Amino acid sequence: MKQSDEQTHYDVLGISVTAGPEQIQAAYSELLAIYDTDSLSTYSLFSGSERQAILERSKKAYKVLMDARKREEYDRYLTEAGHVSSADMEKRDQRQPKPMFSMHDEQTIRQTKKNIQKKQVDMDTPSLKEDIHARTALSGADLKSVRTSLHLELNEIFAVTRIPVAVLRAIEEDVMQKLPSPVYLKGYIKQYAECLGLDSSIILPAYLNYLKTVS
Amino acid sequence: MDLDLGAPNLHTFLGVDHLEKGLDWFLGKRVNHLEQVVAPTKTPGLYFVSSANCRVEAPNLHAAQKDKIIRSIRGLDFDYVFLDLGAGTSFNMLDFFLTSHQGLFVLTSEPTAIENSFAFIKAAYFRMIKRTLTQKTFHRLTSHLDLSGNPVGQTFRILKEIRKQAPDMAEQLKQKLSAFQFLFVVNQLHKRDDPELGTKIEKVCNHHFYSGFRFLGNIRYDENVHNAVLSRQLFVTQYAHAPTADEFCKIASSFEPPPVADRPGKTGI
Repeated sequence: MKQSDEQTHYDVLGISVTAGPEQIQAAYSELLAIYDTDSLSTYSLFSGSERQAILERSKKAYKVLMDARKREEYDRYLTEAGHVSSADMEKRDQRQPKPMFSMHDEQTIRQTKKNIQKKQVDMDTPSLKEDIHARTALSGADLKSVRTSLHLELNEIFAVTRIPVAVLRAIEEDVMQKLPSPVYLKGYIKQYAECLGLDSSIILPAYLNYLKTVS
Repeated sequence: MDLDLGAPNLHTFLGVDHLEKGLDWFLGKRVNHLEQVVAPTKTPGLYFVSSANCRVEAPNLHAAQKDKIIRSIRGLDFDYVFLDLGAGTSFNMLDFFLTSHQGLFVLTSEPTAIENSFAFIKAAYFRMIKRTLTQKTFHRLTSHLDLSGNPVGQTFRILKEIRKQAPDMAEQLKQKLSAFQFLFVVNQLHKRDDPELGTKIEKVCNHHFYSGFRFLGNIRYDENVHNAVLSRQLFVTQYAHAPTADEFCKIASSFEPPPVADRPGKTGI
């Protein structure tokens, strides 16, 4: 077991000192998933308090490294302590994480909603919808088939529902380990179904039936 | 070599029946050398030591018997020796695992299997620490510690205490632990399972343990494995063109034991 005091913030996040904000963001998101209480990859390895301590260390590292001023101070400390060379720092990746849609870009959201409605009208597929509504069990793959028949991209669903693309992908690919907790999942399925022009009061119970059968 | 002494069945997988001679002859001193009980298999170049006829008390080998087996394995004149070990964390099992140049464990993507794997890693880690320090020193340094709780926390507390009380010993221990590499495979991966599970476990273990962890790959679930066992044939030869056989072969080719010259013993185990 490695001692936590041997690790720098870069070690904690598993990144190099040249990592840019984009990589820091990605590494932190990955750690949150790995050390989540429901994560299979760390199942039984840590106690609740150990898991909490790891997440807190990761959060602290993330906050320092994502703040330009704090990171500069921290890097200065590491350089003076001889942990890294200033030459390494110069190779740093400056790319910033790029949000696919701005939360504040109301115009984009309005436009996307219009596009989705237009596609629902253009690609009116009553037989597919009837078939979906008639089923007692529905998988994520079934929802995907509706989305693809409407020629909708996941980004468009995200823009309207704010359901993260990774979650949408996990739902559509039926990757059980990556699904959010049931309380969130129910809300997501409802939103997703409505975004596809489906009746969420029929879709949600059918999806939950499917989950019961596979679990 | 089938060293799953409590439940040996490797002969069935290999389709080798009715072997008269095996490890029991060697342990019972009916032969002097382990090489005398090595039997050929249907696969060219593959030889086998069966434990099928070992006595019921065989899983509880005495330390002297275990050392005798390990010494004899090192004396075998083969390119590589694979030891098939059973599940569990008995000292004999751990010592056979740790005496190998590379130790490979297999898990499935179920919480129970993952829990057992972490328990095994913890036990192997403990065993390495104890073998490095000797029982007496270990007891002296750790007897006052609370060793309940989770594996990582326990090992952390032991190493922290040793570092506090005997820094030189801690450094020696760190080197010893760092020198060992655990290899692992995720077996019977179903379509709905997370294909990145092995990579995540590798990342977590390399982050928290001094020893190295290397994930060799996934092997997908395949009904035909069951069929191969039923027919007592090697899966990779009977279903050579199945994607699962391809994954077996890729993993086998990525698993390269160190060259003979770099190993302390004569044979690569």
